[in-house]
Formats: sequence, C-alpha cells, structure tokens
Amino acid sequence: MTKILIAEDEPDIRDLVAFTLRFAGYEVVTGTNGEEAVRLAKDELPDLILLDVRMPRMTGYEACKQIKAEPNLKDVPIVFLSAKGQETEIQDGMDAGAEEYLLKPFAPDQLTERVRSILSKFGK
Amino acid sequence: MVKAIAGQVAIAINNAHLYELIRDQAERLGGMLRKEQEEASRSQAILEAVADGVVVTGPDNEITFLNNSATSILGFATENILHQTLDAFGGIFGKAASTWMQTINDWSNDPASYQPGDSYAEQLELEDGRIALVHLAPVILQNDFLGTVSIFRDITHEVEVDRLKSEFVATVSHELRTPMTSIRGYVDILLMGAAGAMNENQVHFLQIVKNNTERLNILVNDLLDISRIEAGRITLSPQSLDLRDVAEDVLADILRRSEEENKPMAFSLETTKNLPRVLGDAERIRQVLGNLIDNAYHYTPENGQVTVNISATNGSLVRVDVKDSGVGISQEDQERIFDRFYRGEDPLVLATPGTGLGLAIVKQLIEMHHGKIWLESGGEGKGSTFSFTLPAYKKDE
Repeated sequence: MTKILIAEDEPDIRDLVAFTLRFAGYEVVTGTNGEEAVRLAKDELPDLILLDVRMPRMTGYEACKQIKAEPNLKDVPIVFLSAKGQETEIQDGMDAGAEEYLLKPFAPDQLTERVRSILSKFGK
Repeated sequence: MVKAIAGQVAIAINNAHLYELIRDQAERLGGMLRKEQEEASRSQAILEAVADGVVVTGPDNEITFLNNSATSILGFATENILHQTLDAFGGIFGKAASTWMQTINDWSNDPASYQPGDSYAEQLELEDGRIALVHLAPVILQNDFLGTVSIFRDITHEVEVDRLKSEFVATVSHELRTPMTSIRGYVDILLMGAAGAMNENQVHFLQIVKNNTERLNILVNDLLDISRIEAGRITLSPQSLDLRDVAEDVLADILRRSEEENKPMAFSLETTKNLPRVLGDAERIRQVLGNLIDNAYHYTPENGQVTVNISATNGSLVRVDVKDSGVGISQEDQERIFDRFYRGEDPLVLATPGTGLGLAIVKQLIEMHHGKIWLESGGEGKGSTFSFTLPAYKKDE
C-alpha cells in the first residue's frame, strides 16, 4: 500500500489530511513538527511526504533539506502545505528540493487529486 | 622749473588715479571675497544641518568634505576620513564595491558619458548592522570631472518597518487560513458521506456552512491582496501571455459554474486575427479576467449574455472588453465603482456575496502592468462594459 508521511503541527488539519488520505486508500504516518518529520521519514521510508511550512522545533523548509540530503530519501517527492501570502517560504521550499506545494485552505477532494497526480508523476 | 613741477604734478595725479583704481579694485575684490566667504559659510551651515550624510571628493577621489551626519552614519571619525581616498572605504560597499569603483572610474575617465540625472545608488549593511542608503553622483563642469558627492541616509528603521509589515501579512495569512482549512475540510468530508449518511436538512445546512466558508476565504484573499499591494509587497512575474488562452480558461470555469448553479447564460469570446501577445503576470492577469467575467456573470440575470472581446488597438497595446447585458451601473455608482469596499445598491448586487474589494484590486493590478481600466454603462438595466489595456509583448524584453 502506498505510504504517505504528513508533518503538520495543527492537530485539526493533521487529522483532516490523515482521514482524507486514509479514506482514499493510502497508509498514513503523522508527525507534529519538523524534527519528527525527518525521523519518521528515515524510519518509515514513505512514498510521498506532505510538510507544513511553519512548524515548531524545525521548519518544513529545514526538514525538507535534511530529508533530501538522505541518500535513500532524496527521490521521495515532498509537497509543502502552505497558506497563500507566504510566497518567499514557498520559494525557499522549492529551492530546498520540494516538488510541489498545496495552498490552504484546500478541499479534501483537491488534496486527494493532487496526491494521486504527484504519485503518478513520480511513478509510485 | 615750471615744466618740472608740472611733470611732478602729472605724475602725482596719475599716481592718485592709479591709487584710486587700485583701491577700487581691491575693495571690489574684497567685497567679492567676502560674499564668497559668506556663501561658503552658508553652504557649510546648510550641509552641517542636514540629517543626511554628505561626503564630497575631489577629482582624484580624495575626500575633501564630510558633514557631521556622515561621520555619525558611517561610524568613522572625521580626522580618519578627511583627505583619504574614497576607495579606502570601499569595504563599506561590500559586494557592490567593484561596481561602485567602476562607476566612479567611468565618470572620471569619460565625463562626456555622464547624462544629467545619472547617479549610483546602493543599500549598504554597516558593520554594526544598521542599513544605509547611498546616492553617489559626479560633479562635472564643462566636461571636466571635478569629483563626486555622496549622500548617505540611515534607513534601518524603514527596513525594519518593511520587514514587520511583511511578517504581519504572512502571519495573518497563516492564522486566518488555518482554521478555515479545518472548517472547509471537515464540512467537505461530511458532505462526501465519509462519516456516514446524512439527511436532507443536514446536507442543506452543511452546504450553507461551506458557502460561507468560501465567502470568508474570498474576503481573506482580497484583504491580504489589497494589503500587500498597498505595502508594495506584490511582485509581478511578467511573461509573454496569450490573452485568448487565459480568457478561454476563465470562461470554461464560469460556464461550468453556470451549469452547476442552473443559471443559463450565453458566453462568447471574440478576438481579432493575429492578436499580439501581452506582457503580464499570468496569475494576476487571470485574476483580473476572472474578477471581471465573474462580476459580469453574477450581475446579469439568467438567460443573459456575457461577451469578451480582445483586440489590438495599435502596435503597442491590447484591449479587452468584458460586456454584459446585466443590471448596469448608474452614473453615480460609476464614479465610485473602483473604490475599496464600494458596492452598488441594485438588488442583484446586494444579493450576491462580495467584499467590494475585487475591482479595487483589479484596478491596482492593471496599473501595476502599466495598463488602464475603465467602464461604460448606459445606466441601470442597460448592461456594462469593463475595458482594460495591457502593453503588447516585445520580443527583446
């Protein structure tokens, strides 16, 4: 089963995204901050990573850089979850190696569709 | 003897004339010198009084004058700087030092290359973390390079305020959108039936919550947009665009909505042949067209007509007209239609959710693209046409 890692510090959004993706048939692993995201990425070897940009302990941007530096994770697509109005952060994320970003607020069906499309694009 | 006396008298008279001449000239020169000294003192007093730092160099780049503000801003003592050459302080220009020195050398070597109004400007980070803005201009007289004048201004406070504004917009954006994501997301999950079947009333009420969340989302977007535009935080990414493609895309969306809402409307797109491409930010131009076509759709009763016409006005401009057969706009409202938060009072307008910010944002975006926007309407009940122009794309841009 395709495994997706979600790192998001807002519990309601984390649960929303997890529920939506499980409902769509994916296996989901969740983290609450950037440090956990890096640790879980190394332990779980997901097929796709969704990272919030603003998180405590370590930002999504930093987490992305660290994940991409791991040899067995560098090809895992990373998608940022961000609010419009944070273009500089989004650009920083792209520069750090993220493949896509998804703007909040997003509808669950939008999220599922984007995830499906990205996984397909990366042959997963 | 008389002759001798006459001769002596003549000499004396000549001497007296000469003496008067010399005395006159000396007085005149003295007067001029005094005036110059007064002028110089006045100029010096003015330069010492200004808050901006002033540094003057001679033709060999030696610093010949600097005022107290300059020493204060740059953090150097006067005695350490006076009569030094400017390149000794190139360090304060950081990475820009080589461009700065090259600029001065160009002026010095070829004064004829200087155009009135030419200057060099740079933002510098000083050693203690303060930020200074410097403007450097040459002093050229009859094709001779006489030196430079540099004006320094401490802009640390302005830079900090700018950073705080930017931080504020980003924080507000994040804080508003976070709860909206949850509200919208969970309502959609419920409407999907993912948490179990629901009765008709539950579906209806949740749909109302969803619609109002969408209104809130639009309001947040519009407020942030206008706030960012006014703070100068919007950066355009101009590229070559085919307006026909953008219009087709927007019309496809609105047609879909018209079908979903069961509000039949006739949409058409007319363009001239060989339509030039325009120079514009794709996302923002789509936003402009989206807003105008959206308004045309909303403020036209069902079975009406919305036409988008795109034409080249001359070699340098492309014009877009969005025409509807809708409620029209009274003369009084026309004067205020682009004002922030202004909405007309037609019942159809009031019945349609809106912030009154859309057109204000559209106007700003068009003007940022060096275009113009205007409207024509025969009045209430006679439809409206909103028109704008954009510069045509020129290949060497």
